[in-house]
Amino acid sequence: MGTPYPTVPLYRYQYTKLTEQQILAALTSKAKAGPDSASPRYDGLAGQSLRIVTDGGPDLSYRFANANQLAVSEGAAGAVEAGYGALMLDQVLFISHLIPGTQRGYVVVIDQATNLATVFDLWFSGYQDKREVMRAVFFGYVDKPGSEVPTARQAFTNRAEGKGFHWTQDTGAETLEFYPSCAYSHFVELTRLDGEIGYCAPSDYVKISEHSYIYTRTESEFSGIFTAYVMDVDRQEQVGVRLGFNAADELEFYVFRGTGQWLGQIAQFEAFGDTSGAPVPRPDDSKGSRRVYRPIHTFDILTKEETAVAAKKHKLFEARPSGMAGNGSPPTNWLAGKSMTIRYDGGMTMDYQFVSADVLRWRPGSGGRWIETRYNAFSSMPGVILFGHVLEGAPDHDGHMVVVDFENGLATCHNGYLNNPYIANEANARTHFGYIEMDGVKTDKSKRHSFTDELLGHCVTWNYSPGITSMHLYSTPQTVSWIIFTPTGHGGMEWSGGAAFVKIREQLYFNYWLEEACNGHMASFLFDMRAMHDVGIGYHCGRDGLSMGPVGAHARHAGSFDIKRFARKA
Amino acid sequence: MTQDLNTSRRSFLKGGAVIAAPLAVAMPSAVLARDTREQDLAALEDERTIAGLRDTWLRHVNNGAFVEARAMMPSTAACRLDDGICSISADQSAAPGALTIAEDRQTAAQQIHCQVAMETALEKDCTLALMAHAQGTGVVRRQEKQSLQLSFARGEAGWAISEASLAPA
Repeated sequence: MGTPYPTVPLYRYQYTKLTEQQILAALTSKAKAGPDSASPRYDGLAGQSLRIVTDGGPDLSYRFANANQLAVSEGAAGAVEAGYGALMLDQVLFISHLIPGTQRGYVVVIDQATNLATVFDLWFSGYQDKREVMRAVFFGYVDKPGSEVPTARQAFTNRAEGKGFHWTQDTGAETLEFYPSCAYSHFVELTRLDGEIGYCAPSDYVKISEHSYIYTRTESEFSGIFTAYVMDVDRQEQVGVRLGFNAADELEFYVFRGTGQWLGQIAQFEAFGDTSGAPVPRPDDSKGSRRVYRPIHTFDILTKEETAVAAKKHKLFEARPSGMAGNGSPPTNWLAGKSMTIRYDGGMTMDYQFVSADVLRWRPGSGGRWIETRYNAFSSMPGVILFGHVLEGAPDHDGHMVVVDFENGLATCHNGYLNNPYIANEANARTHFGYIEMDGVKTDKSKRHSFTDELLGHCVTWNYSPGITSMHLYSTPQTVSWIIFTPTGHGGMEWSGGAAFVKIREQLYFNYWLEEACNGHMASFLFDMRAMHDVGIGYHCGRDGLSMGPVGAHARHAGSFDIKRFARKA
Repeated sequence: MTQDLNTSRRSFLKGGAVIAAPLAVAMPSAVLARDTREQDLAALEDERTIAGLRDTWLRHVNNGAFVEARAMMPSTAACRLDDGICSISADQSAAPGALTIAEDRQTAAQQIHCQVAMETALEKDCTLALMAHAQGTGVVRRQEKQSLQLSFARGEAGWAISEASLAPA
């Protein structure tokens, strides 16, 4: 049994495939005792009864014995006794409990001002990975005998979209949480993990009022832990529950209070007046069904040997680029006929002879054997060119995406490579800084381009071609998260991976993202924040070969989150 | 009154012809008029039948019932529409397309200015496209002004649509 929170990125951790028996055994004692709570529980329910009626979902009748024991009847079934935890946030009551003897439980949120309620029906063993908590969301009301049944309901919303908070729970756990989508969210664990990488999770957003929302996330593809909370965005407070098995396979079931720090609000892209939520179409009508992005399930993973065979076939800057290049720039022939040497820190030297607009010769270190290969180059700001090529014969099938800055005589290389310990045909990257030796180019050998946090917290949309649009969220100095949109402009599915950000000049940045535990791509892109356009190069190895191709998109600012102080902390 | 409302245009015109008959002055003129009226009636009948076919076919297309739409034609090849067509609606800003019926009443053609909504599946050649498909929204939608060209032919069973195609407006 390992530590509760992995020391490797969550998508690298091999979570135990818990059995139903293991899950049920772990739930048994917690179901009777109820969730832990670091804060005093709400005791105002002691001695009271409550009936929650939902549309097409559970009909729950409660009798509360005290502040942590209740009896609940589901529909006409007999009452069962269970432990529970309740917390209040202003007028909103948050209750959570399990059903003893089962792998099920509930979260009930009641707005006491309106008597409207939302019920989250929770269960384990509903997916092939049985530890992943499943949920179905039902809207209803508190039944008040003699009163009219309210016609209003709480509902899914996009009104929380674009917000971000730094939350500190009463457990001490600190997170950065971003809601850039109506179907997903992004979170950075500052205390449970090292805060270096942000992760994405399918999420629900329910509106209680203009100030108060219910949020959930399920850490699908990772631990499967479910978190739900009510947040008051003006009070900057939350009350919620965490339920599931951590990396040490320990059951976490506790209610919590938290205080928030506002990180900001980014843009939304729905039509004015559209406040709808849950924009991603459900796959079917089965209970709790929703679309969860599970890219590793469709990624064609190759062994190191298979990768070596595949990488012998090169697909370099082919005539028909992918949809990621629809708004890109045409290649430039500016380098044709020129020669240069790039000396990188750490000793790597690359000699280049650019034979034509798309053929170059390179050799590692002066005096080695020249190797001819296909390349493409793209212009950015004046005097700055990005070019890329693969390194035939390199044991890890490297590719170099190089920014050459002739004004300053500097060069920076994003060195893509394969054969990481996890997935052989997944792209990894390192960054090399160096300088150019070339006739007519003045070089100050003491200067370098450098990593930057100037983009940290920024959100930028990228339109690559019709229908191929995403938004980047730069949530840590090592993370790019990308969110795609629905046809209605709602934020939809989201994923994230490793990244690096290098400043070339004012308003010009050379970045990469890695599609880790996803599709294995690397995209290295030079982002001109004045032109709001990028030129880039993608690097990938699949069964059909090692490929390099152009990337290019029109960009728009979508706002930013104030998170630089947390990066320093991390 | 109810019967009046249900009276077909043809029967109304027949009645009109009968009512108009006493106004006739000379026999040859009356015979000519009757022949003309019969031709008119036949043309109106053709127009009505063809309009019904066209409307039924468009209803199938706009409801996504392409199997039914194609079944109204002599062959699949006669329905020369892209698979990505979502809807075809008359362009109200354009002049209505006239129906031309051949003198022998065996063929007819109509060209209608339309707004055509189309969707094209995103090619699964990059991660964002794969995500869009996983999200259930992996198509690009667009709307274009086009010209719907319908051809009709009369067979043993009466009028049928013989071909449908779209062309740039």
